[in-house]
Amino acid sequence: MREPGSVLQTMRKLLFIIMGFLIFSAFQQREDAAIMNAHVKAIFLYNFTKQIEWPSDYKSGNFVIGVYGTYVTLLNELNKMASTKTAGTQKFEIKEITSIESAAKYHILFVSSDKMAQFAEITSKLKGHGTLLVTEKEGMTKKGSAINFVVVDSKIKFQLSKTNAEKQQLKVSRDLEAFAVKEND
Amino acid sequence: MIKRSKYLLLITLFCVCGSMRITAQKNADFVAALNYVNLKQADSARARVDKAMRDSVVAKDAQSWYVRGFIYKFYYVSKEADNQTSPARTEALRSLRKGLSMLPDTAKTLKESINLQMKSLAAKYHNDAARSLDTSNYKIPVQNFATYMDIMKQIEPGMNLKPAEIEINLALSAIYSSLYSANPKTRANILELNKAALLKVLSLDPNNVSANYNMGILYYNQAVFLINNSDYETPLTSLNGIQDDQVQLFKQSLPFTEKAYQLNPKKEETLQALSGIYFGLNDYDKSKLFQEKLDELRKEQKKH
Repeated sequence: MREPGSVLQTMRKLLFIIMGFLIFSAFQQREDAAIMNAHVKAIFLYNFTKQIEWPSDYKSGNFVIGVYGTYVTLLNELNKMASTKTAGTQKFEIKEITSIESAAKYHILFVSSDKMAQFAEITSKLKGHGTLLVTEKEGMTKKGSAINFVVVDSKIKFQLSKTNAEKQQLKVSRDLEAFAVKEND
Repeated sequence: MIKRSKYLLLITLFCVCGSMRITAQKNADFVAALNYVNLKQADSARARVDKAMRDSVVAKDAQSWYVRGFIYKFYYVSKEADNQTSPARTEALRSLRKGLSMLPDTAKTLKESINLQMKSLAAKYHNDAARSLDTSNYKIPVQNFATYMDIMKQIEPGMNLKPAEIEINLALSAIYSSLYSANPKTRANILELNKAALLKVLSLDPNNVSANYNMGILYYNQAVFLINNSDYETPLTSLNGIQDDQVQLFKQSLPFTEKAYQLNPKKEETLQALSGIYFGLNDYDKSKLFQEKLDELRKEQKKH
């Protein structure tokens, strides 16, 4: 008969349970935060499709979202979104972009922070194309971006340049304007 | 092993019979019941002791309850050892407690004998709780562990029960976490149970690394779940509120995880967690800092 003093023997099983969970949870964490961040951006992008009006020749065919730069988690999130949602009657088409062609037709082009050096070239090639340029680096609305993701009080928000959007023949709703944060916020 | 347990049973029987001299003379059913124990006939022993207890004189005697507890414990070991909710064990404990409550302060020998039996039962409750604890079964082990604690507090008030209580609550927390991960949508109550288990550990040992770490992870997972389960069509007004809640949860996670880090800076999981929390708070510089510390730690570990 084991006495309470020998509880250590049975504690081994408890320890095993605890250690098993620690390894499990640590493994999960490495991916979760990045996915979560990308998920928030995908929600924003989906909202943009509702709050922005594209030129008439962009209202048929697929709704193309391009991701330029290394951002696998965002691509995955957008592909998940594309499998269940549509932009009105248009199906989503998600493209991983490795080089920008002048003739390319994107409804939204997300340019990740590792491609900022090419941003001037991108804006020049897509000038007036009806493409919503989305970036995620402070000050990018001054360089031609229409939407720029920023962090305010630990939350992801966005800055909006109505002028840059209009240069791309895009009409931004007043609701969306209201949600945007000012450059100096 | 069998020989040893037989020997122990005989010794115990001898002690029980010795202490039962007076009562046994009063009621022949007791003698028969103890003889059945000696013959390892648990059913008959239990029936005869219950028959003996119908005698009002016997029922007023603390020793009688001690013997009844002993016989019920014998029945439990013989017939219900694998039953985590054994009625015989419950009855054995009840009888021993009743015997103990009837004893005058001077009856030290009998008190020691009853305590010994209760201690043995406590061990059974504890071992059952630890052995059977898993994701499909946690309510009964929790009850059994509580019974173990009750018994030990009663018979050994000075005993340090903290280590056992800490371990069981940490194990419970791990079980709750697994259950929560399996289906977070329908297990909000599990989350609260998990918090309660961890807070119990922290109340006993504020510097417990595992409890601090797990508490941090608990809030962290809640924050991640909140966002990742938001539909893509979530309106911007709602998204703002969700992000507020998420930030709040990450901030709740931070002090526990930071404390776990202070207590043990060489624990990889904590560094990963801190990197994740800061990433969730969109503080990429700090996230990177902890990722770099983690990389350094791994390099060091490889060297050794």
